[in-house]
Amino acid sequence: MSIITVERKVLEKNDQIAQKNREKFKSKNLFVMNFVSSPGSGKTSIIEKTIEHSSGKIKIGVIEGDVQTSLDAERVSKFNVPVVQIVTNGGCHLEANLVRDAYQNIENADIEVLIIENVGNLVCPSNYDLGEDIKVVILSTTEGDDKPLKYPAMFRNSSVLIINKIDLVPYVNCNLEEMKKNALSINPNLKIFEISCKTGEGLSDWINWIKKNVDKS
Amino acid sequence: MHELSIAQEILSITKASLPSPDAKVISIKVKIGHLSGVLVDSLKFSFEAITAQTEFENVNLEVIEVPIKIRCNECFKESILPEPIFLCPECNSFNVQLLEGRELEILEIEIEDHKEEI
Ligand SMILES: [Zn+2]
Repeated sequence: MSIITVERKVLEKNDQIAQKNREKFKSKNLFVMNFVSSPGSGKTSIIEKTIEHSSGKIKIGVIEGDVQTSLDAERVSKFNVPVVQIVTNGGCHLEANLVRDAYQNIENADIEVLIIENVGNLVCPSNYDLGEDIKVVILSTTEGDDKPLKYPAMFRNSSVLIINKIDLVPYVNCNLEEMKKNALSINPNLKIFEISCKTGEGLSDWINWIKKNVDKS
Repeated sequence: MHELSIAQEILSITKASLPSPDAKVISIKVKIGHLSGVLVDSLKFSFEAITAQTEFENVNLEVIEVPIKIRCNECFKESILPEPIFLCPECNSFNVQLLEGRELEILEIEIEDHKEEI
């Protein structure tokens, strides 16, 4: 028997493409956010509200990742922003090559922020770098406050946590303080925003924060 | 089920690393961190599924699991964390850095020696 030493990262191919994406985004002065969440936490609503409330202030483009339909892209395109759809055909996460190909369709669009809506899943997307500046993890108050502890890799790798549907706190069994405490125990550097897409609460803080990052990039 | 695509990547890197296409692989050694998000059982199952009835059937996927290891930025001690709660067990500080636990690597491949014709 003989041993061949390999010592390579399993996802090196993805990482290399992600790095190329990152260089490309940098050359376009784009601030790129990768949105991750469980299904049903309201990612698309947050994107819609973000576009609506930043209109005239921040130029946003969107890459929508979906397992099957293009419904989310149709929702977002109503706001007249550049949007591209990626259908993963059952794939549970986006990969860097899919983002590279999708971005080609809006490469010449006049945008400052690119939001990539990942597939609804808190496990797999944490392994796949897409070339983004930051990952934004979204939880809603209808999910358990122990969720960060169940998906530590995702919370560790994200820079921002958006807690959505805070208007529902009085009606659901969610301990907001406990949720935040759990998230910070995994990642003390998480920047947390509490938002209601329904009442608009918290949106201006979030938009201002994006604006600050756009000015930096 | 991203373990399936990870199993496929492992197989394709293995194929690319062989000295000759007909080399007979016995085992593949991989390193999987506890914070990699990869379920070892699921990975093994996926690997078996994609190699069934191929020349890689019965190749042993040997998994070395890597626990979460941190260094505290306050007391500078290194610790292994049984749970991914990033708290220094020595001084209770949250100001810790991750040293190990995110690994997802192929270390080595064991192949049968080529039988020389005499
Ligand atoms: Zn310490």
